[in-house]
Amino acid sequence: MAGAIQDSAGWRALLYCLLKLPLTAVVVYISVIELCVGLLALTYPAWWFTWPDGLGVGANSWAQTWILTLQGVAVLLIFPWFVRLVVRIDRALAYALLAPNSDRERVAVLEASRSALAADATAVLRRVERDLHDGTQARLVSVGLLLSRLEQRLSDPELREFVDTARRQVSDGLDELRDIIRGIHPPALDHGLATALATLASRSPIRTEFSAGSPLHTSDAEASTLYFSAAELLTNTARHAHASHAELHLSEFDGQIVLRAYDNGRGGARADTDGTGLAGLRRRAEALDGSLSIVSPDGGPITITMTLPRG
Amino acid sequence: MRLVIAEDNPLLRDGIVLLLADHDIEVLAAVDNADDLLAAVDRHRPDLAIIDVRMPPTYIDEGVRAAIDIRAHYPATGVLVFSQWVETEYARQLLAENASKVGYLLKDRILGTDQFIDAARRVAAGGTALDPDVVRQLLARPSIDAGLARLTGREREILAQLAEGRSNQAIALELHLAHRSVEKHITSVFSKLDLPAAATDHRRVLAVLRFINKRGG
Repeated sequence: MAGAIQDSAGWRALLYCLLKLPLTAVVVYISVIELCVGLLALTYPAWWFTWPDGLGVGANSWAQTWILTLQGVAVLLIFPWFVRLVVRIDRALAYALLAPNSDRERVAVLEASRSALAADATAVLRRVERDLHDGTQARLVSVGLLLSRLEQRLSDPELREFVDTARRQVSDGLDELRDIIRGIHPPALDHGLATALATLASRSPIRTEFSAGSPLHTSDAEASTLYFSAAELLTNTARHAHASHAELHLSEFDGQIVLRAYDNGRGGARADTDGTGLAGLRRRAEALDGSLSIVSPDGGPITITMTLPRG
Repeated sequence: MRLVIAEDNPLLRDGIVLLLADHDIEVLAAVDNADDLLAAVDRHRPDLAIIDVRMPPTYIDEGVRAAIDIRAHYPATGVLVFSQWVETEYARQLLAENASKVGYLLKDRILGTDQFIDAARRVAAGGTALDPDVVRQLLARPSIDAGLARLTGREREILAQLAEGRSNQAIALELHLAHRSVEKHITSVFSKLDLPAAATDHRRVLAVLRFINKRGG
């Protein structure tokens, strides 16, 4: 309802209809009069000839009837110009009231730039992941390798212990780096969203069945949003739901990508409470013009559906 | 042990070759892509191929696919796949039909040189080497297999160690158990999983497969 009231385009269309109505009435009225008078004046000599006494208006002599004829010609010649004027007024009205205004053009520009930004962000994260993998991680492993070989060659137990500690530090560094990368761009996504989600489901502490409809193609930004949302949903289930069974389903319906998460836990999830991160998931969906629906009666079960339009 | 290596990062490739040379292991070929790897395996028929998962051209799963190919066509060659990541899904693909002569490890494990060399020898000799990370991912889930559900906590630990590819002796050392009690637990695991009373090594492999395949969801 509020949407209908705030719909400025709707109001402007209504105004156009209201203005168009009197304009049309006036135009029709003037056109009819003009055509009738014009034709009548044009043919006045004939009328005068037929009923010399019956008319009694406009002319008293033959000469005057011919003047009226000339006036009729003038009126009829002016008529097309009148029509052109009317059309021009109507066009101006329509352009002013019905054409997209600057706000709407701005929305279109913003929508385009937002989706370009989302794609850019995903591409940048992917590149960062590649660089870390090919550069930093590989270099750390090779430093570790050198330390290992050095350790083999040392006989002094004290030195060996030093080198061993250094090598362990490198190992811990690699572990941390792996966790960071998992949060940036999970390499499993390169193998397709369905595979990544399957791995995610198999990693969940709660028995989670994953199923996917026909193979679908998603943009990188969509895949990454769906992946991290699924990860968050499964984490929520494990932490809050007290569930013994969960399901994750990915499908395409009516030109939309649908991710549905179900668990048989105690339910009662709300998007407006903190801690479960559902509000954050909703924002993620909305950033791609999608939506999040939560069906979670107290006592469970819970079904959360994320819907994204095909980009 | 004769082996070939496929790793696209020159730093790591050279590092691993030198490390293996330190341990008197002969590297027949060190290549940087899957095609050259398959050609090298065909030419040298090595005991083991050590394979990086991500290689050119797509840097996704070339190594895994090459490893599956090698397992299908060169059964005498063991494959030890390693990467910066371990994915349960890849483990399942690698071990789909047979858990012998196959390993899947994090690259970090190379740093623990002795374990790495040990894993390489084990795989070349027909055994299994699964990364503890893969095993942990698999173990994190409650069981959906009736046989696996019957295992006690200690037995699950033992099964995880089996999946990593450890010998009875290594398991005893790792879990601080007496050798005999490890044997007892393993027998109990086999009987709970209804595994046939065949040669022990064969049953180990079957137990690992059961473990991998039933955990997939």
